[in-house]
Amino acid sequence: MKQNLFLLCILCLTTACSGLPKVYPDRNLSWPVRRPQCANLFPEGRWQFSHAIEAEMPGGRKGMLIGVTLISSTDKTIQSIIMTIEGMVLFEARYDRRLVVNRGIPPFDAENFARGLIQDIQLIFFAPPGTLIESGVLDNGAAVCRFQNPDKGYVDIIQHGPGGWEIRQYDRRYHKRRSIKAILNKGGINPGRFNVPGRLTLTSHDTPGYVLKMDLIEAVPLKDNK
Amino acid sequence: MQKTRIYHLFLCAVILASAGLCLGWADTWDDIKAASGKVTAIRAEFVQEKHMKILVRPLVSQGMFYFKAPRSLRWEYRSPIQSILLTHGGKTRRFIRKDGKVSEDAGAQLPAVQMVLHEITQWLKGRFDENPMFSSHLEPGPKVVLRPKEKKFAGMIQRIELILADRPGMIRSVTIFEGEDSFTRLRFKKVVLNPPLPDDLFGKI
Repeated sequence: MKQNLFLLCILCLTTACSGLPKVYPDRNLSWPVRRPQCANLFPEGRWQFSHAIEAEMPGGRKGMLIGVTLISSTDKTIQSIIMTIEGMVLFEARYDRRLVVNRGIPPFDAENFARGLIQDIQLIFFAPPGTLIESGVLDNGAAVCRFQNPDKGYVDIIQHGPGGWEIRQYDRRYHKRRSIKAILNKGGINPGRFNVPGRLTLTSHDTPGYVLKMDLIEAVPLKDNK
Repeated sequence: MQKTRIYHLFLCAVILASAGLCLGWADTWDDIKAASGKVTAIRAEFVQEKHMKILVRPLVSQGMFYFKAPRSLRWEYRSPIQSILLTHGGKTRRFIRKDGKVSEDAGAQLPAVQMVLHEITQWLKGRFDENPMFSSHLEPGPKVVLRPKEKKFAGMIQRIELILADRPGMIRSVTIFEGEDSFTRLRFKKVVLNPPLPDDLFGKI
């Protein structure tokens, strides 16, 4: 009986800790509640982004790489290249409804790696594919839009004023899977349509997790950008 | 393991070129070896361009390269990433400078780099034709072409082309082809042969 009670307490605590942050109604009518405005921090059209990526892996190991990402917000295609500082390509893949890995040098040849990378890129660069279910403010007053995706998971897009934004991804059981923090004014650029963050920090809350600190090298709108 | 070896080969080519080793200015390997013996130190600026078909423009990195015989090296990228590879006294370390802080990069590549550095001493003697991993050809240009002997390596690095400068002991550029539409080109400028280089340069950030 005592054991059951203990387990029940643990369950309650776990549920409480992993719940979605509460969204409060926003009395300021200027805060958008329409989907396009919630998603206006994502690039539109075709872009090529280059980042210096500092990867922090389990055990505290760190490594520096260069990542090049070509995206199209229209057809949701992605091309991803990861290379060493010296220019050697370790990984190259294309996603167009299905994933094709053209080059993968161990340990970048693992299928899980490629799939996870594409999912991370989608989270960073594409507006959530799901439905806007809630908008308002968080405890700290930050504006938030909450989407529910087709996989029943949730994505919160949080705007911390003019200096940055944040994305939090939760699974259907409200466990936080990824968070992305963007700093706009740290070497970022504003090509006129949206602010390209100078730094993105992606944290995987899975076990084992990882952290990717991505500093923008350049953002190039591609010719047929629409 | 394969990644390490490939990376090793890649670095071999880069360091070889960067070092501006004593190639060419002759028609035979023997002439190259003879000229090579005169280089004891090198200082150079480099520009690295990464070309790929899908890139709308090449990715450009720049930095400085220092070498001091027998095997001290400082390979310093200054942009866009500030990275410093130091080898001295048999130890190799890589550091990243970011946000005003310096941290050590514990990448798995380092053991491979150490292996490369051992081979550099061979290359310093102009023994490019003695590396068992590559077949080497001296072509008009003058140009040295290295091709991996093993097929699985050739899938990663197709060939390496080194264009020799007019001045003995200097290389104009090196191009590492990973495929026909993917290559890395390093161009060297302001190359100084046998400058006085203090040991601290290779031991301190």
